[in-house]
Amino acid sequence: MHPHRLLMIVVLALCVMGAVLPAAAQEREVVNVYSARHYGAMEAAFTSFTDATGIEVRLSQGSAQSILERLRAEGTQTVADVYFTIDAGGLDLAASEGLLQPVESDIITAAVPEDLRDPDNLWFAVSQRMRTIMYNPQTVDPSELSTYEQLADPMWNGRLCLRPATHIYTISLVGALINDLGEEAAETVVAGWVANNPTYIDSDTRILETIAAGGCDVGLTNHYYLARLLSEDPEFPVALFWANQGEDQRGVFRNVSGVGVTAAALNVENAITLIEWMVTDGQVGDETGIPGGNYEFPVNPDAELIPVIAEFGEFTIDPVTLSSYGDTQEAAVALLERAGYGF
Amino acid sequence: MTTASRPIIPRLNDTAAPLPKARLRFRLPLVPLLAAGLTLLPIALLAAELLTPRVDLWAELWETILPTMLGNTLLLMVGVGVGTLVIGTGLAWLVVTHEFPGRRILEHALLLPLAMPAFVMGFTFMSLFDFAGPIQSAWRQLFGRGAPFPDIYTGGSAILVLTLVLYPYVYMLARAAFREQAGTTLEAARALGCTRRSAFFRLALPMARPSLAAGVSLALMEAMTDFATVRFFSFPTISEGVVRLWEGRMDRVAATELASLLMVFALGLLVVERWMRGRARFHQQGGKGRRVTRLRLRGWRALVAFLACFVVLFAAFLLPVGQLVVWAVAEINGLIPGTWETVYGQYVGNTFLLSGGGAAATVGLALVLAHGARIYKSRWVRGAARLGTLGYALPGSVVAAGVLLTLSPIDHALGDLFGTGLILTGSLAGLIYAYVVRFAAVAYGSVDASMVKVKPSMEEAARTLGASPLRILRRIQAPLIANGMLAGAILVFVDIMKELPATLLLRPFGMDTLGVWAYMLAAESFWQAASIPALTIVAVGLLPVFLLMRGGGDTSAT
Amino acid sequence: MSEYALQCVDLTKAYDGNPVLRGIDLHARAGQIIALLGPSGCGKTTTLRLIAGFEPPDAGEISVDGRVVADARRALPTEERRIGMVFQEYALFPHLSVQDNIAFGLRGAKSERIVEMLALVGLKGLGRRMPHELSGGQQQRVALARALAPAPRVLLLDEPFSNLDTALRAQVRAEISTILRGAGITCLIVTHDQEEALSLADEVAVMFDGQIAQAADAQTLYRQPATKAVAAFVGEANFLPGRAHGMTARIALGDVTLDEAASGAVDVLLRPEQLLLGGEDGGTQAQVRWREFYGHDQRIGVETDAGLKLVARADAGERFLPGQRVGVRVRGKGRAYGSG
Repeated sequence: MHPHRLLMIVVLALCVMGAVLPAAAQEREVVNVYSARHYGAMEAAFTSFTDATGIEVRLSQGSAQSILERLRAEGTQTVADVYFTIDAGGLDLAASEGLLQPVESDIITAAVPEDLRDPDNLWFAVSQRMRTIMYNPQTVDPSELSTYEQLADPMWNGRLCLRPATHIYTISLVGALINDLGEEAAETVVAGWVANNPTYIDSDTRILETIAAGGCDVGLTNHYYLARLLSEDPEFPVALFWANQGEDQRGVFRNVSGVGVTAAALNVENAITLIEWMVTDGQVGDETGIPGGNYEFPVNPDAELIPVIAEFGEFTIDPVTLSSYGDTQEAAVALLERAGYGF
Repeated sequence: MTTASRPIIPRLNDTAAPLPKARLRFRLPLVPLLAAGLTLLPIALLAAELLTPRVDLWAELWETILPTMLGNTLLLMVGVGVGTLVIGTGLAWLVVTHEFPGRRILEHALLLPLAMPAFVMGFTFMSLFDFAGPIQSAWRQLFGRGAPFPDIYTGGSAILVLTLVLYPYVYMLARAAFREQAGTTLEAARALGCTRRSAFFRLALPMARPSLAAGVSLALMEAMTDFATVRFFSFPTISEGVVRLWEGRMDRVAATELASLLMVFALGLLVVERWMRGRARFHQQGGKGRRVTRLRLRGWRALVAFLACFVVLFAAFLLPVGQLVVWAVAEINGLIPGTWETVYGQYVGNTFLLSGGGAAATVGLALVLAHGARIYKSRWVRGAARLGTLGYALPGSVVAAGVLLTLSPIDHALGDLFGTGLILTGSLAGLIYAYVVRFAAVAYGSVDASMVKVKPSMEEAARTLGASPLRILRRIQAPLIANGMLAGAILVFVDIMKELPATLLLRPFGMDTLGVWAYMLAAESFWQAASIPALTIVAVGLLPVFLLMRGGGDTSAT
Repeated sequence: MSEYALQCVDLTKAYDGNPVLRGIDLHARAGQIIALLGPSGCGKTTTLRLIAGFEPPDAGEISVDGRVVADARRALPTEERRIGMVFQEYALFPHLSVQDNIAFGLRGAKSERIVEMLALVGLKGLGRRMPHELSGGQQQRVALARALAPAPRVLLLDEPFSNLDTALRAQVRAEISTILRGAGITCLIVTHDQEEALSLADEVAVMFDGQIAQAADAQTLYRQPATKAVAAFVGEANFLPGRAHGMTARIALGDVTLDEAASGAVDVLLRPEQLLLGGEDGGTQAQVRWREFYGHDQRIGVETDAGLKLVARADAGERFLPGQRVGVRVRGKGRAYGSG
């Protein structure tokens, strides 16, 4: 065969594949998911879902902001059936902008407590996580720690590791501060953090590793990053401190990963099946479960905790309603920029 | 001859068909012009965007992030420019004019970093050198906990990483240039009392200037397109800003405005490069002069020369690849069998589909342009072909913005008419279009260079035999330049695999590639998991590097 | 149907403002072989390219079989003109076999025609060879077969023999001539080789500087060249200044008879074979300067005592040595051209 013939055939084959593959995929039972959950944490869970139901899960991944914006931009033309994000603010915004449709499912409402779902059943949390204080027990005594606000104290100058302003974890935490303290007081707190010359590291894992290596003494991360590191190395030298647990204090900041069915969904049935699975069978505490695979707290009260996170102990959760998170998001972004928080 | 009894050529009064009744007409080179227009349109629309700036937006950008980004971008350009020039030229001079142990292998091996996407190098370096990384940990073990270590979240790190990945562009072209310089010229200079060192600065370097300018500008174009490496090191540039506004805020309007500013940078670079090359077309008379005799280095000098090459190779290739391999081995041991193969297979499939489709489309377009420039001997077509390959100077994010500007009105019009979804911008079409715009030059260079094999008279002969331009393309040009097309396709394939910004911004649903996968994982510091897709990209990327090595460093870089 | 198979009227063409063709008129009857002869750069190849349709004329008109195929504003694309062409470097398609080359311009049933064409050019059995496996002469015959296969109305040949060894050239030329005559096709051959043009063509058009100086059959061209330039280009010429009075002219060699009446200051053309070299006793006194011996004849350079340098041609039998004194006499009629 002439080399050019071969080339032509390859080119043609590719073109045909490009045309046929998506079409062929349409033939099977699928559900299309816009996901802000990062890679690796979910594949096992979704594989067990596919094994159980025969429905294929097709993921498109992006940051929490980008998939929300993408949903907005595409509107009724979106191909996504399920919106799966890592932040209650995003769920709330999507719901209030009419991007999601209500889901009537007894299975879901029975599995998810009321405070973990939208009053109109537009979205449901599937796992919970706490963003709290992490410290190096060799250099920090837990008695020195108390609240998020206290990290603005000059005693922490040069000792903090924080996630940059661009990440949704930072934005939603600051949004919660605005909710609890009011915008002015929240800005004072953030300005205090900034004044302590924190090291900005765009990875919770790396923040913890830096604390372990002695690069910072204290950081703010989600609880499950520590859980993951501890499960790999039980001797990992970083400890967790539940923030704002004092008598008259509001409790640790909670956020959720949650899902909703898009208003324009084509595979509504499959989407509901997926969500039902996520809040029931998918709540298992190992890597084949939605919270388990990520060392998060389940939403279904019947589900078991993974031992590693059970060891973090009891704690109080800030009772602020999840659906208020979306209201402060924009203000939080602006505040971070004003305060000169690193990006 | 027995056939003479019957006339072979029908005489005029025979039954042969009369001349066709086709109307006399101009034959416009419509297809090539359209093809060139297709690649130019996004750039033109983006340029037009500059004419109608959104003042409020610019004011906001200027008050917040723009000054930092502008400063950082300039710093990055200067740093990477100087860095690649010094390393690339220095190493090229060393291996071309000196002989030392290991030179033969090192000379080729120094091209290896071409296979490494900048962001892979970026996150590998970050993990190696940040506070929690092995280097700093070892440092602390050696010199105590408080031992000072330079901050790695700086522009310096970004410049270093990009320099290490991009110096081969300069090295490659400088090496070719030094090789072409006849040894006699340099020997003449030495006979006139020049030392070897001053012969380098006074003769070899100025003579190689056009090549050096081309190499540095290629490196800078790549540096300008990078957003991931600078992001890893918290050193936001304009490119990073475009991606941030688009992907993070989904503010495509603002992203487009910023992209148009970046385009000014890119085109400015192009102008500077042309000007630097300028009239200087230094060619050795006779061409086939004796090569430079290599100076044999001995003792510590040989050691220094060897180390200079080896350290660069180690830092730019062996170290990061070694780290990736270590990660990958650890990752594979911890994987759940069954799941992982499917996931990996899916990303590989997506990547090959996009790269293959993109390469095929790009080579196809290059073929049409090269064909047009040949068949229609008009300056218009040739100029258009050259303009049509302008996209290579533009960062991926700029091209993505231009493609969006071009396609979304069509999308919306189609949507209004037929109720279709975002059939262009939401599908492979948009992304492949962006690849075509971005990499047309790579394929064109390859295809056009091999067009030399097709003599103009062959095309003319085919035309006298009644072949239409399309038939000439299919039956004569394409088969004769199949090798060039294949080489072009391989280069574009790998470039697309390594491409990040345009892919990230325009990828359709479920079309995440190995590059996007690796980047997303790396951005979350899942380096171990990122190592597998990253290594896959590097491995495929080695293919054209080996081709390059075999070709002895000759390039058709424009 | 027109009288001419190929007709060019007043073709002009300029590149970047430099005129290359300035009003070319060419006519070829069906079956006629025309040669376009001229020094390199005279525009003969451009004329061919215009006829083939590779480039459009700036002005003028080209017709094939009475149909206009190109004028100043419009042009039929090459592929629709039914014009065949044989290129100087043959331009065979290197990736196609001989038979595929020949089949390239054919539509429909091809195999019979291929066999026919291979037979015509004497390459039977070589159809499966690749071009690079053939000798130069064979390649040229393939090029010819390929051009003839689609039965073109006109065949253009661009310096068809210049790529062949001198030794081969005459033989191949004879073969090609036979083939072309046998095919009865109208041909236009571009060449700078006068021998080629004169021996092959029914009519030769001599071209200088973008214009056709004279178009005529070989004999007329040699005997009655229209201009001094034609005379000098076609064959060898001695020009002797003198004054003409009617049918005679007085030149340095005495009075000569002219073939046409003229008057005033003229240059008189005398071909070398018209100069007879004899003993010192007769004719104008001169000295032999050099001699080139060819076997069938010889060329002798002489200088008259008045300093006039001439070239003569003589039989092989006589012996001339440089320095030898001779007397020069004129045979036949001279042809006068206004001098200046």
